[in-house]
Amino acid sequence: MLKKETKKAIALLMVAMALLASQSVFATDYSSTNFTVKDPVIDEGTSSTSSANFGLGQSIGQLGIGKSTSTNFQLWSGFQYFFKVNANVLTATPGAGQASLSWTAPTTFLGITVGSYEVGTGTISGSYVFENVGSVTTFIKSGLTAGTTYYFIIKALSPGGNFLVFSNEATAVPTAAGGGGGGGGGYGNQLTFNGIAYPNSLVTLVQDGTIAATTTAATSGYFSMGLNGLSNGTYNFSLYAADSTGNLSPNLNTSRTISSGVAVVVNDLIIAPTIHLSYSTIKQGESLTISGYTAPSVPVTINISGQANVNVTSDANGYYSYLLDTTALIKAVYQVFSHALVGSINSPNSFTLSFEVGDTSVPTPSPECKRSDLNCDGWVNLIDFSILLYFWDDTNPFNPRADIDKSGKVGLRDFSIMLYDWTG
Amino acid sequence: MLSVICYLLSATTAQAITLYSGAANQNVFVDHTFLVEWYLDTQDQEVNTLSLKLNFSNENLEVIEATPGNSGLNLWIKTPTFSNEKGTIELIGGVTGGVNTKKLPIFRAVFKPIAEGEAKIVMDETSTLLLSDGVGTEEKLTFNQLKFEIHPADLAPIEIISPTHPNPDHWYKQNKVLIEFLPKPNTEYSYGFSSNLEVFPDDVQDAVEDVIYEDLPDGIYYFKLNSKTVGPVPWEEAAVFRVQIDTTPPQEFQPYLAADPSIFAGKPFISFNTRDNISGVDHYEVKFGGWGRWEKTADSVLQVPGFILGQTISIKVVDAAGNEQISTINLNELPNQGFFQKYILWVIIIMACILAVFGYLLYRFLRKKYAI
Repeated sequence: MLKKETKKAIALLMVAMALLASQSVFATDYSSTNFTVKDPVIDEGTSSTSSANFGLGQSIGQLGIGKSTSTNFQLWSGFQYFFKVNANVLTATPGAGQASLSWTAPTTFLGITVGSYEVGTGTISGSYVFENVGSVTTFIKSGLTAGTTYYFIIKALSPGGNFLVFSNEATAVPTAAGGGGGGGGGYGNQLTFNGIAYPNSLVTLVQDGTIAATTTAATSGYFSMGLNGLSNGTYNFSLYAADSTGNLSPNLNTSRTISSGVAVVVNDLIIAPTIHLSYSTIKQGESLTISGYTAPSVPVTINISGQANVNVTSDANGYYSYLLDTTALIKAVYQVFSHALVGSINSPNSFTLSFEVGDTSVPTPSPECKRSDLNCDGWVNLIDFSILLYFWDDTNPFNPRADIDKSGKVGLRDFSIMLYDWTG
Repeated sequence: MLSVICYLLSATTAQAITLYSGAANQNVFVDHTFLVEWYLDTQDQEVNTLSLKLNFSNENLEVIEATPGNSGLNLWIKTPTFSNEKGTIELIGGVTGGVNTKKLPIFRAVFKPIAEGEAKIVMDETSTLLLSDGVGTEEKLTFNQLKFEIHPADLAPIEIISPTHPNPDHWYKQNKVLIEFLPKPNTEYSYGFSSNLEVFPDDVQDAVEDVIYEDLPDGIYYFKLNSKTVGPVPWEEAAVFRVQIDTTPPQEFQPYLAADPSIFAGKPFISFNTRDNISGVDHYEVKFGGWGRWEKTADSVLQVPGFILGQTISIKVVDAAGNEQISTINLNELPNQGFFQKYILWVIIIMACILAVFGYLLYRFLRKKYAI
């Protein structure tokens, strides 16, 4: 049996320990000119929670940040220490019964590294069977059925095998295996376009005036789309994107010559921003919103005729906007367009819009139909061209929309404007 | 051997957009046709519309054919047309979206010299080029005149024939080429076969025999024959023979079926357009209904007839080599189509059945009445 004094001493000791245990440990604040972190130690955790499907480890108080290592352990300590991994970019080039996959390594921050990759393959978008291909950035997926659209995605894993990030989804349609011999017309050539539009925007590829493919850009704005079975020859391609409000970008045009057996990949295509004005006429002194979409989190330059350029940054959705105070603007008509800096590449210019500073404000009307869309069906295509041809050379045509430039006669300039506005 | 005088355009000092030809180094003889391909160098500018008029000396030069060929222009207001009477070639075409390239194929023309002397081709000052800038800004277009020295027919070189591709102006699907020529005594020959007009035979004597080239990709080829008498004398061009191969059908296409109140009195029309990358579109044919006949059409916009037996309209595009591509459109796709038009076939079948039954009953009645 313990003596009474000994019991008292133990009781006091336990109370003291309980008091100590219930208090957080505080470290010294640290700060710079831009921030201060107060008490940079998190409360000690009590336990971990887990189920059959997940585990939650609670944070434990730490006294400083940094990495400690020995031959037996590695300790990451510090306050709010989260790693970050940016999505990588996958391209898929179809071949005879196979697809050649190539991807960039994800950019990683705060210590995390990629240990290996898994290639996901499926015939339904968003549904894949994965296979680990090790620490490589190219892979040929063989044994595919010709003519079937395959969807691919890359899963990056940490050295411990934990999931880090998915790439974009890329598609490829394998061709039939060659039977030898040959020459001929060069059927089965592939052409792939890779570039940046706006997050979740619909990107359209027009081949020689006809829509050849569409795809939805990833949240990063990245898109990849391909054409197969092209015969030898020179083709004209246009790409444009529609933002979430339905506004279209100008066409991005390229001409490519296809030769037998050569897979052509066109990279670094940057779609021009869309642009919208809140008012077509603005009362002097009021504010006009200039807005649009481009790649996410990039610098955007807005050019207003006769004014200094305005620099803004797009948000994570690619949206940019600027509130223009018209107090200092004289009453006149102004032109405005924008362009973005995506990585180190300047985008083409957006469409150029006009607004007038005057005595009253008139909101920009929702257009019944766009210029060159002569039948107002939302597209500028062969039907509109047919209507233009019908009224070719006519003075004051029965359908006044055919006189696109309002010159009084349907002629070459109207044709040029329609070709510029072409959507396929 | 006669040499060609052919002044090609070189890049101009100003960055003007340039029309140029691929007619270099061709010997030109009376009655011997030759092909000239025309290209545009847009000088780093985006263009979309070209209205072109060329004037040629029609006293000693004739145009046999002017076609879009593998043109990069994909919409035409006026396809290449020519008048030997006026000595002109004209076209109006455009590129959807616009294009910026150093070599945009525009059209092809086959010329036939009809008299010796100097022939010229110049660009008419009414020719117009518009930028793809959304407002149709006009841009200067340059073209240095093209000159040919036409030599007499009796100075024509050795005759080359091809049993497989006899007419150098025609396009063939056959991609195996047999070339023959009749050698002269005491003469050595060297020859080459290339799709590049600028490639010449080497200086090594080749065996005089029938020449066969197989599995050739589509394109225009030139068999060039050089000759020299035995001994240390230089090689000279003896003859050039052109072979044109196209095994590939025109591009797939989708006709549009539409109606607009402002044209054809609001009645439906079809519109179609496609390209052929090698020999070019030769013509379109149209067939109304399942039992219709194929008929050539010069227009790419056609009003849909009021009555079609069957619910389809088929468009066939044929390239210069005879390769075909067919696309069919269903009239059911046209909105606001009348009940009668939509079910015309069933109406006819039901009416025929009713008539048959009525006829049979009438026959029985008459037979009974008159005891036939």
